[in-house]
Amino acid sequence: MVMREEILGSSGMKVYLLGNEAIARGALEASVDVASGYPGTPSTEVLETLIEVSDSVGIRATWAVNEKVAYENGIAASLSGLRALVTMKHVGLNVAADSFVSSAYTGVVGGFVIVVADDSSMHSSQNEQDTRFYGQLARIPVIEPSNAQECKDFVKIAFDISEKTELPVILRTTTRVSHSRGVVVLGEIKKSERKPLFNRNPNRFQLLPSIAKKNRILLLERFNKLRDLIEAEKLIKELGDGSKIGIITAGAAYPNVIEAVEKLDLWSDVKILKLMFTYPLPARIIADFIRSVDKVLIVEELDPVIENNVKSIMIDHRIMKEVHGKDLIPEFYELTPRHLIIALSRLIGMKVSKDYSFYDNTNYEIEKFLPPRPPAFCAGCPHRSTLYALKRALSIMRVKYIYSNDIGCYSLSINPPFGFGDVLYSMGAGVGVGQGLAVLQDQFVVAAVGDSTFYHAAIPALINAAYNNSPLLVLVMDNGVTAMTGQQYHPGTGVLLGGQGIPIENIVKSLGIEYVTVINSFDVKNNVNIMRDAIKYVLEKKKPAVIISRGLCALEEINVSKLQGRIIKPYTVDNIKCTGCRVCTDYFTCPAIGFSNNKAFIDPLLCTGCGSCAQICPYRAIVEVK
Amino acid sequence: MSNKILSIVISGVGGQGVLTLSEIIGRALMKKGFNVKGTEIHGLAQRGGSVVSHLKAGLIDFSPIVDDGDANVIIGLEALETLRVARYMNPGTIVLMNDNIIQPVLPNIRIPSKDDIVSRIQFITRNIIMVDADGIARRLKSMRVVNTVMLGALAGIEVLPLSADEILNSLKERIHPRFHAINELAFNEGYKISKNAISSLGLENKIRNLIEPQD
Repeated sequence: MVMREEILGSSGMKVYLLGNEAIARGALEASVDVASGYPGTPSTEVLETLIEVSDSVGIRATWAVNEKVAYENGIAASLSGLRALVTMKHVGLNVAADSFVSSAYTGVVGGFVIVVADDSSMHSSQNEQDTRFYGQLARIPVIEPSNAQECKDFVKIAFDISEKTELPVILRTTTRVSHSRGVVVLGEIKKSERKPLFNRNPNRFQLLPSIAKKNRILLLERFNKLRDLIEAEKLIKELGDGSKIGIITAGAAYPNVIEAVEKLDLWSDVKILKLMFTYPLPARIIADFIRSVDKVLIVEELDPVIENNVKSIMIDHRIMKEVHGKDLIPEFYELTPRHLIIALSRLIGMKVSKDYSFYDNTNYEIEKFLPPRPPAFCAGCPHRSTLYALKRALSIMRVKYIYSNDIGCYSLSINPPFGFGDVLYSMGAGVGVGQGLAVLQDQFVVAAVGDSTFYHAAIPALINAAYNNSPLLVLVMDNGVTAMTGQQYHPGTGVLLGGQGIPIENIVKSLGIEYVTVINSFDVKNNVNIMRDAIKYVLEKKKPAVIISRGLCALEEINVSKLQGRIIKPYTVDNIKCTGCRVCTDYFTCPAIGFSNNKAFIDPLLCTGCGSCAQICPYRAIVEVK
Repeated sequence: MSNKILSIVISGVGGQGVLTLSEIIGRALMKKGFNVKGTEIHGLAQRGGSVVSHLKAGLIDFSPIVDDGDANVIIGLEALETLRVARYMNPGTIVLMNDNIIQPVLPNIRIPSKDDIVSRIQFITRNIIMVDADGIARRLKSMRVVNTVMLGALAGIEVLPLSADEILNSLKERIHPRFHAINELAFNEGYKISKNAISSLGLENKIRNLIEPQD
């Protein structure tokens, strides 16, 4: 409620926005025409916000099947003279990389901004790659906001630079920028007057080798123009007038610097150069800044990208000065005030005022004392029921297996009681690595994949499995939405088609895979038998089998039943029949099932009425509430 | 000009309303003229894992992350999760703790007793106020107001440069008018509990006005 009003608020209004929401608002103020992306933490809310308001502001904002196609949507819009914004998480840019790198060779027509959110500390990611290297790789500029206000303002600057230089621009955030709320003063939303018009220019837009060769030179020319522009427009901020330490910083690192300088009362000793663009760097500005201080400290989150480039600028400008960076600031995980307090204290020769080891020890002792609370499958989650059936089938058949995992809520299968998960790499790699293992190993291979992930990157891997006759069981856990990132739609949902989506089973069957079965995730008892049958088929026939386990995401189920006015009928435990055997609490582990006074009980507020636990109770003690 | 930063850490279990609570307090502080930053880990927040929100306000710029030992107030929506954020506590920190344990969804785990949890917190700070927010919510027949009871408790200790009305209004702006009455009841219950507790702890004057509002 508040959010929509704030996102569409009038100029001058002061609102409290998430960094990602502020980026969305910035896109509206920059009169964006087309937005596309694929959900991924911490980037998701940018496009989610734009989709939410797309009707009222008249822009085209859609989730694409994956980041590469989202990026290509952006190219298409830009080549049509429109302003395009594309969003993804850091690893999403790996998926889009092929078109991304080449897009610098053709250059853009309409302004093109790529929002890439890096997940420092890997709160919800498989790696901690630093997107700024992609800027260097492709000669695409990288701009880094440090708070919500800058998130909004920098989008406009990024579009402006993109059009002036004909280059795409990366707006890079890290978790603490994307996922921090802050005070934002709104500007004016500008409606676009542009009409899509594709001006043919095959000698520019077709990257055949002969044209790419010419474009490579043009790219370097554009890049030089960009360098000059960043320098000339002074796209930096300078603070303080001390001369002992010159701090060069940007992005999420910057507010940590400010807090540490305040707390240590160092304003008379330091001077700060805050960069807007972290690639390329404004060389002359940096050289002048370094000349004006005794020593330099470079503060950036993750890899030493600014640091290495500053050092090269110093060589070019024949400056010899003491430079610190990753020797004092960690090159892993996100930065906190603590890192800066320690680094600055050391550099200035003060004792660190706080005994941080005390807090580390406290935390260590407490984590040892407390039970862990990892994220769990929700009450009524279809994955729990599917995995329970798989676990039963495998243990009844005493089959040794390798479980090739993929990325989605179902990755949580690694936690007890399931313990499913031997390998996990990237979107689609569950089937990709699984089918590779299956042709090499005698061991039975299960490859897990979700519905959104299936469309995103698993289809080519499945084609390879079919083509190589890889003997594996592919378990597609279809919960109807891109659940992990907040129930976004995907091609299976039919949201953009106004009805039926593209069924996974049709795709699988079209590949010539003979064993394809669709099951209801919550039909646990039957599913154990179907899984046994499929496992037997793979072991005996040495061919791939696909089970599509279908059951709506519990959170979506709750939303849908609310919308439809449907009342959820919870289950309850019959206290006389319950023997306290703990099968439900220890082997099924639904958050709605608790245990007290030697009996199980079901929390009626959490139960979604899926009915799976009633099927697994050996004493038939779980029944529907009458 | 004060360079002090007010730091609040809110912890709980995914689904308890940690993020909403943080937003409500953040908006109220923004309206009062402060620079405010709030941050949390999303992504897995709805799936029953630990959720922590850091909220800071001041007149200068600052990191959104609360440094070790820097919290002025901890709001714990669940007992285990309150202790889990102990690294942000110092001897002056006020801890508002919902007196309730939600069992983590894991087989064969040992849950510590509430007394053990409290004594471990007291090892760092004696200023701990227990609020039976779950009990109050159950009596009001809506488990969704647990976080509102805790918001009332925050208003009751009067450490923020905000009046109880200003906090309550920020809450009302965030929720449907249909739920105003029940939330106000929940808010007042929490307010009473902590207001009484704070005078028995003799803290009234120690902690007020940590930061001054901007003109």
